[in-house]
Amino acid sequence: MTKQQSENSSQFNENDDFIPVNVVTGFLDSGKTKLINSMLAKRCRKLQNILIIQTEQGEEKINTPINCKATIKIIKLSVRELQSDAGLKEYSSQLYEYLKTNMTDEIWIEWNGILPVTMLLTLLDFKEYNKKEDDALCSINKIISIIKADTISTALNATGGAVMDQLINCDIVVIRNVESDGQFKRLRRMLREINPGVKVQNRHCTDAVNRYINSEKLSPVASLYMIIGFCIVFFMLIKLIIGTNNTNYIINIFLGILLQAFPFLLIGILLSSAIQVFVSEKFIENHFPKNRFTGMIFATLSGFCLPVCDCASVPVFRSLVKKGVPVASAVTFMMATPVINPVVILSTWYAFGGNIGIVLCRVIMGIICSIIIGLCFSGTDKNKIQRVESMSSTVCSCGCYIDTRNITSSPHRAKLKMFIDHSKAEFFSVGKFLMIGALVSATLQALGKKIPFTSHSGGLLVSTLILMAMAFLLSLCSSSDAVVAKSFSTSFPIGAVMGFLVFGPMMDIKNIIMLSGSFKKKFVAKLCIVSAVVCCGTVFIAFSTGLGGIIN
Amino acid sequence: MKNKHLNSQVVLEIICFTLFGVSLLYLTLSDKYLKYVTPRTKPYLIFASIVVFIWVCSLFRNLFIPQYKKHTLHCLVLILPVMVMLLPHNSVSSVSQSGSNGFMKGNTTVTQPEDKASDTVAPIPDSSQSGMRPSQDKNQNVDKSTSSELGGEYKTKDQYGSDITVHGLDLKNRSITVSDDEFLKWTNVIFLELDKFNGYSVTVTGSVMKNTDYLEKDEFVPARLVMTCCVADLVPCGFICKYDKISELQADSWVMVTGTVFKGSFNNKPEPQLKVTQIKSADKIEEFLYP
Repeated sequence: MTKQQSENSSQFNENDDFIPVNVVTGFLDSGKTKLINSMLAKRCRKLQNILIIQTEQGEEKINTPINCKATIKIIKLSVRELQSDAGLKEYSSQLYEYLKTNMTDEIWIEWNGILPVTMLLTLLDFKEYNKKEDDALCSINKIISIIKADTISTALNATGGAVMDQLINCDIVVIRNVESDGQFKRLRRMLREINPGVKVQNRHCTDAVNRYINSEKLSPVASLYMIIGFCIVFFMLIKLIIGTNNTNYIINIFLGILLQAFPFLLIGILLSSAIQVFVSEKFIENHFPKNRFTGMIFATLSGFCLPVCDCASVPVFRSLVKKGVPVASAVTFMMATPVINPVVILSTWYAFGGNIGIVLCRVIMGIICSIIIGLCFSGTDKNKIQRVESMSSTVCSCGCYIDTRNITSSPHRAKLKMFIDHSKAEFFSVGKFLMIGALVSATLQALGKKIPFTSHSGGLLVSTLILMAMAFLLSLCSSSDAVVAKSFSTSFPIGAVMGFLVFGPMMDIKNIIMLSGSFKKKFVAKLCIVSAVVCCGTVFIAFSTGLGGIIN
Repeated sequence: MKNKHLNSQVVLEIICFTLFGVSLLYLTLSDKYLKYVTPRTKPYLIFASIVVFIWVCSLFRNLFIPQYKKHTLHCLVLILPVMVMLLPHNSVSSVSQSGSNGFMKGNTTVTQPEDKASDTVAPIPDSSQSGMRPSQDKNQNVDKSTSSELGGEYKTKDQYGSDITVHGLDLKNRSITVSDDEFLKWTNVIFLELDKFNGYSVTVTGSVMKNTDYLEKDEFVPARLVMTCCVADLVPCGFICKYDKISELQADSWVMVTGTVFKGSFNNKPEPQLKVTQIKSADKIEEFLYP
């Protein structure tokens, strides 16, 4: 690169060694060329040589802006050639030769919506031809993705992976055809879910996009360091405020909950990923009972067969809903599984010294409550409760997708690969909520232990409510809570203890935080309130009619 | 530089997953996990480490796949637990830095779960009778040498009909020396066969728990902490001891108590309690008990 070139490009790119490359991606007719045209009008005032690479022939043509002093060179690449390895290599070497011999200040690439970003990186990777010199010649500055609010869902369904890949990899998303603020916010939330920290811009606002293009990015590693540093400072502060003993206790409880829950969370994640990848929607459609009531019975029965605790049932619930299982049945499943599975039954039996009455009562009440809670959600539309809406069903929110080329050659291998990738991505998305949940619960246990819980004053309803609140706050694993419940049984009536045993596994802080990661706040709040009311009501009705005397 | 072949996000993920998996495996294999969870969790933790290592292996496949946008913050899910594990912290059971001196001012850490117990958890002997049933868990860390050195094997059946074998019974002198690893078993046996062991002299080691809501002024418990699932559900366990000079006992200090079993009552139910004849200071016991 000549000295003059470097000077010119330095206005736009701090990194003097590389020619900055700005990429505009999106579907056909999403307005890529229009955006490039409007950007050119701004950028040709300061630059002399601009190269434009087009991979699509839309209706719009690249226009040289009026009073433009810069030389604009346009290169067109064929999509078919790009899709073959040989063609891609050929283009790459041609581009390298061009950049070597022609002065270029900036490159704009109009990138086709069906081509993955990795292909773009291969195109711009000149290592092979550039063995002697150590510079890469050009470097991607920003990737801008354009989507249309009204057609994004259908477009994702039609093209699947590549668009998702572009949305995950871009720096700026420009959304067109936005009808309302609400719609824009929903889309922005969805985009940030799959691409944290992405800038989202409403309509063609050239100034804003231009500003983003010139802005410096904070290196991801630097932000990681910053957060780790912040955590250490935060920890020191907390230690100062609440004292060493409390901090020590919090650390122990946090690690205890984490080590206890982590393997079960993994089982849940693996199960839910298996459902997501290996079970087709058609299979569920054909085999899952159509009738609402039999569906719920079926869900309850499958709860008996799964020895998982509540940490595992949340991810499974998530994938069941995604696969089209009716919300009512899925809710029943999520509520029932942690209460009635074999491990829980056994641990309850041990904890209560072989008292079959308590075990039966817990199981039966668990089933009754979960069916009632499930019924409260019959008729709920799955699309209205999930946070990531407008997301295509073939592409899940973790950003995984099956590479269509692999799937034709060896479907089993591709599915296995996807299973592993999916479980990894799900681990990251659910794991953070487990961590937050464990931390909140550990803090509450350390700081809240001095709150006096005296029960003798209140009646059954009050003590049931107290123990249910305890169950909610403590977030104990459902396979161990029976022992803690047993220890309450001398100071609380047995009905209240039953409230603890039935409600605890269904809902607690940890579950709420994990659920709110993928479902709307309104749904999570409704689920929480409904389950609390149903559990409390069922227990109260059963025990105020004298059930306590029978099982004691 | 973005076009470099090595994908830095994948490198970071590999490092974090490896760190996480290695810490998990280290905790499991060095038995340090017992500070937080019970021996029953061991196979699950090994399973979890295996899954983590499978993920690491699968990541190597992506090592050279170019990626434009790098995300790093998701790795906090792995980094933070490892950081917390590395933070200096004591086990909840730690009572005193030098337990051998006995009646020293103890570290207050142990009072926390016991306080919790006094607020919310049932009387200890009761839970030991029914909830804290000694199990046949093979993973349980039984220090066989200690138990067998005591001799005096005694075989009986627990309330579920399973065999229990305990050591340290001296029929001639009507005395029982409870080894640290048979604490739960002996507590259970004496609760079950109160009539038989009434009047026996029992020697047991525990941490002093006194002045709780349900203990009388002249009562204390040489307690051990029992973990059923994880450190969040620690419950103290032991015999109620009658002793005149409670005020001389430092809460949370470790003591070896010798006392005579008598039929006391708690919540109007008969249960074995000890009339103290001798108290000696004892070494702190790090391990929890796992039913």
